[in-house]
Amino acid sequence: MTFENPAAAWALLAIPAILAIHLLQRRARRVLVSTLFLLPAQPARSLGGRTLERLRGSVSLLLQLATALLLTALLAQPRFLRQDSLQRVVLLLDASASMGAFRDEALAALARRSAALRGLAARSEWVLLSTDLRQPPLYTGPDRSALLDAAAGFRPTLPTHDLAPALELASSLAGPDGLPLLVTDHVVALPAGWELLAVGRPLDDVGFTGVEVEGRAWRAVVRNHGRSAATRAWWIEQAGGPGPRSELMLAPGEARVLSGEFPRGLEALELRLTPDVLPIDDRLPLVLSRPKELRVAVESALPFARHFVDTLEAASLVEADPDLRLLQARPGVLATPRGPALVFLAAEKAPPGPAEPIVAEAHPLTEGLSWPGLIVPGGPGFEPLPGDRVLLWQGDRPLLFLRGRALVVNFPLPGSNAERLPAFLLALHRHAEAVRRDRIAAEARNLETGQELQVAVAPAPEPRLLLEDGSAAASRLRAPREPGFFRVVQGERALLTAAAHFGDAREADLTAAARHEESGGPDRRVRLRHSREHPLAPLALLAVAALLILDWRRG
Amino acid sequence: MAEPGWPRDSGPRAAALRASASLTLPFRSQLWRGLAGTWAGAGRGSSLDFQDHRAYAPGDDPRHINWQAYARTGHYTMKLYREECSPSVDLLIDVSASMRGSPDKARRCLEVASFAALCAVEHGASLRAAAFAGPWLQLLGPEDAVEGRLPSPSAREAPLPPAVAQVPLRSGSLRVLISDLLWPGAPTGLLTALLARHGRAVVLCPWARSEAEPDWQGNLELVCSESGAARTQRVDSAVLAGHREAYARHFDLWRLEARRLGISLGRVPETGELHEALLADALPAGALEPL
Repeated sequence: MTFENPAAAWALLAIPAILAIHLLQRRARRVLVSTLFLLPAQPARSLGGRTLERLRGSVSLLLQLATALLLTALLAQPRFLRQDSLQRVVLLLDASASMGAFRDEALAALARRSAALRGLAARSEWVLLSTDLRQPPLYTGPDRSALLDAAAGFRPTLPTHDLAPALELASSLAGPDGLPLLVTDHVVALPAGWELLAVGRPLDDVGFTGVEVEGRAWRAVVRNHGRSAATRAWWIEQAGGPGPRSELMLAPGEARVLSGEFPRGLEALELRLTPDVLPIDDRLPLVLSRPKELRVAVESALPFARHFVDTLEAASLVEADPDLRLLQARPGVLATPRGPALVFLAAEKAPPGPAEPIVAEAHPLTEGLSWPGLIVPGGPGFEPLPGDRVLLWQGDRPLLFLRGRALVVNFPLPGSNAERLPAFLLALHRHAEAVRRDRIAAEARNLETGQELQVAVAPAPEPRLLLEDGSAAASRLRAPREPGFFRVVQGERALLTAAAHFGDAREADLTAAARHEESGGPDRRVRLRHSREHPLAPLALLAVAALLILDWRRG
Repeated sequence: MAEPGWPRDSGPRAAALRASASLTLPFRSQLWRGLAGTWAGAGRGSSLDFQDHRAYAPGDDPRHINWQAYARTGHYTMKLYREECSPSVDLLIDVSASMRGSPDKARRCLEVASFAALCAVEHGASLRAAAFAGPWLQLLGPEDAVEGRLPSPSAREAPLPPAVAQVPLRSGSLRVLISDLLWPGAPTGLLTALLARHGRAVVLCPWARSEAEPDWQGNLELVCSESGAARTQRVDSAVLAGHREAYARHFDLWRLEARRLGISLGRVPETGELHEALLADALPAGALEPL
């Protein structure tokens, strides 16, 4: 049984008041009589007075006490659970990394709230999700203990992300009669029907916010996200163990750059800060960056071709077995080049073509690039084939298209300003990097936690992502969620050697964290749906009236 | 609460004298036995009051032959005459606390006791007086009874009926019981005891209006004057009605039983002159007779 209006318990104060009234009596008048045996005995009746006397049990007292109790019960609005009632509660955990500072508070709040929600219906169906929709539901079932165990194993590591898709999924799972609840660390506006459980509070955090590795030199930024000055120790951990500690004093909001070099012979190290409330940004693992080498063969006489190769990172000129060929061909029919290539149009300088607008097709190579300043000469070009994927048009003239794995520049570079147009250069660079990505070769990179991985692998055997403890991660498509070193291997061959660090500084700012618990809002609505009032409740009011009238008549 | 005492300045003898000028105890309605006196005795004696006839037997006093009857019948018959003897009065006075419950009732009790004693003395009766309260008993001198000098026993005992058996009642005496009769139980035992040894009895019952029709209301602590027992209770109109009914039933029972046993019971109210009070019920009930 539950009570819709527990405040009605205050009405029980009427009971001591009634008892006090009955205790305080007028002093009985003493009368000397000749005899008592002729007088019928009659219990004394309570009459108000100022003298404290022994409480007399009387029908009037019992009636008044019964009236007070019955009235209190009526006002409290007792309700009884329907035995067939079932509620679905969807608990959505914010997977943002900042929640790592409030993990214990979140678990405690979840335990409290789930205990309160459990009593709203005869049976409860629990669904525990995180806002990381790449993860399957953490728990689905009727067992609250298992729900809490699943929540205890939850690790929030995501950068700042949009909660809307997770809210939408949770709402659909809850349905119109379910109870969706969000556990987060700050106050957010939620759709109607949602309950917010914010478990945060303003905290100060110091952590790594970014890193750059160039050659053997590294530069890392440490920031104090808090509102008061902070002192931390930092040191380098490497194969030989931890190095000497240095003290870092930072004013509120201050960022400091730490720099150094990879010791000779060492290709990995880790920067460490004194652990604080948010440990995820207190580790900064680093590897010496080694991109895949791109072997380029230049088969074009255009000066631009060699200049272009010079702009590529980790690119080397080769004569045979290149990864990327730079070709040149005369206008007309162009045979599809073998393998990845960049094809330039070998043509004499021509007058500028018609001044028609340049339109780019939606494609990763041209996404976000601006082409209006491109000036191209007229003249004949390559004849397009049905399978060509045109990326850039000028009128109905294709300026840039893909044929197989070759990117074809369908206008003569002499006479155009393409060599100076950033969009053109970037499109070519993207193509070269795409070729590099597709190359199955070893590389070393510094990545962010959870970052999507694009590692070119052979058809067999199955590649694996190995964490720094040697265990295999469930997926090789993303960097680990927590800072650390990892490798992607295929068989015995290491394709990627990497270090993941937490890179979203927004999550490290805990000064806006807040606490908020809503209780009772949806509870009453749900309780009313899953409960019923006692069938005799309407008669209780009649009973109260009858008791009052009876007591009045006896007076 | 202190026990009420007898009023000392009421002068019961004066009121008793006034009442005894026209009323007296019912001496004439009884055939007396005992010492020679001026009242017609129950036995055959030498007084001048003719009582009965019988046939002449040799040796009888010829002065008592009824010659008129001989003239009519031709047979000798003897006249028999009542014995003249002195009456005896045993006065039993209830001196329990209830008899002194109110000043008026106490005064009336003294007056009735004085009246009864005075009547006995004035008519040459042999008076023996005793004061009792439940089982407590004390013999009184005639003057004490006449003057209203009655004891006030302090024993807090339940209002038991008086132990009449303890009182030395004389054979053939007139037993005058002065009591308010306020004790529970059937009256038969006491009334029967009053008639022991060929006696005759009258009961004079002083009563107070506050006993018959009390005006109590509300929560009261009622203290019994006899036993000191206290009872706290609520008194309302229903309770008073019940009391009146019980009171009337109680004295109806006493009257019925007294009538059945041939005892006259007269109730004497506390208000008014004694003479008027005795005329109200005691005289019509036969407990008294006019002079």
